[in-house]
Amino acid sequence: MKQDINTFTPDLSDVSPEFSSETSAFRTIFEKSPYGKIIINDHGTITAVNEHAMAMFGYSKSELLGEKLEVLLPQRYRAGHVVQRTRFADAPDARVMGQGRDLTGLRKDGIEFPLEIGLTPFETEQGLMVCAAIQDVTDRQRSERRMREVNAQLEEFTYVASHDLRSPIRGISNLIEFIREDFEEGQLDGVLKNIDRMDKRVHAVEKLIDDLLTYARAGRRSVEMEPTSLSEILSDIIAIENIPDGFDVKIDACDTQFEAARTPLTTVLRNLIANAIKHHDKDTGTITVKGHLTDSQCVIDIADDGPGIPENARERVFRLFQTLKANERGGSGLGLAVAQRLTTGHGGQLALVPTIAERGTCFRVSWPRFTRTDLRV
Amino acid sequence: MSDIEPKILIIDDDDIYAELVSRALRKAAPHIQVVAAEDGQEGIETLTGKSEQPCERPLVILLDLNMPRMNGFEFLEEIRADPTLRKNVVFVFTTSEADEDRERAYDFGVAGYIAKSRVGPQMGNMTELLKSYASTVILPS
Repeated sequence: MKQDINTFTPDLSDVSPEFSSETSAFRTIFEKSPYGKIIINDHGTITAVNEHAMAMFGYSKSELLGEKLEVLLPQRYRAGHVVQRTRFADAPDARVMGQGRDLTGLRKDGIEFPLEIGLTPFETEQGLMVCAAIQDVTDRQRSERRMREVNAQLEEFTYVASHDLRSPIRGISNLIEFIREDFEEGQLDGVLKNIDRMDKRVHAVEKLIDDLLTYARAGRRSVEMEPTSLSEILSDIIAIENIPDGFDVKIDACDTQFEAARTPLTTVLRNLIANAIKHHDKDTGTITVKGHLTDSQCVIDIADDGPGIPENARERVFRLFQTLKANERGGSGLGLAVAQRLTTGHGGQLALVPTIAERGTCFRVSWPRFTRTDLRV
Repeated sequence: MSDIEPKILIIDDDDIYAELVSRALRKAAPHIQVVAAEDGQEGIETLTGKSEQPCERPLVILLDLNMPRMNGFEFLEEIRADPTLRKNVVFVFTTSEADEDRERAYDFGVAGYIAKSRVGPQMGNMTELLKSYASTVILPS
């Protein structure tokens, strides 16, 4: 067995006449496997790669043999991977790699994709070798993501139908009852007022349905990727957004270029800035927007000096139709829900930054700098 | 109990419901007064005498669930944690007929969960309930 495996390394293309039929069989199993297979030596150098792996990463055999395995990983994971690879060599066992974590591969064209890897270590005369069996799980991740989204959407719609659509209709039904009662008693003073109240509720239902449709559309991702920078996006927003007198929007963002779905990122940031102004309880205020890039994400903090969000309401601010002031029924209560949906739809996160201060709110947007294959449609 | 006029505190962001309860009681039990608060926050202010129309010892509280600022569950959490407010009798009065809302409300020890769609014609069932409640139940001092 040891003998046979040794013939895979270091040069699989070396066809020598002494090949036993068993060796040749193993070679075919390796070469023609429907999984990507890569063998590396104890220095992390690629010594063999099969057809499927080449197709998956977009390299030819000669481009990969002799290279470090890390060329197949996004830059940001490389250093960490060298450490993990060394640790594995100290206690090698056959196993699935990084279970429970999202593993990401990097194609030659720079596009990332999610993958699953099984590791089989084996000892040879040249030292410890490891064979990695690799599977591109783009399709599975995409459908899982889609399924989660659809499920969440369905739950939200059920909730909205049972609460938010029902209550104005219930109200109209009560008002009809009031009017009937007043007619019977000959009390006509309040009738017109109650008809107005019915009218308001009819408009409320219509607006609700419009907003729901906006929200549903926000779930559909636009996929146009273009080079942009945080400072560019933010100065565009300031130019378009109507900032009232007395309000100051301070921007501190880097102008490093990166590839992003610019339109949805702009919408999210614009919603958050507009929200901070709209919900401010004073005539003057400052909104501070700070953006920087980390290895894998852009992180943007939008902080205001408004009234803040009561602790007990923080959990529900991202849900549909939650408004914080009783007199704001006119506001749709959808701004944050739309922003969050756009963000998670593009693989990012939108969260409230916990604060102990009495006033002020800070939202943090984490937007991926690299779009994986499973997030592309 | 009987020496003071019983009051009902209704906490609902839609002012129709305060009117609905008042209209129903005006005929069936005119001695019961109705005090309204538009959300949980105002409800607490009303109970602690900090609002324009205080109602520190209501017979019962009728509580809506879905409200801005402080919703029904947040209100329950708040009053159950406060030794001076925790003994209040709360009936949930809501459009929601969702199982999870009902279970969650009873976890807070509410006296009853009433769906707005099931109060009977002209609030008949509800008025009967409030009337007999006022005349038979002995509340904590």
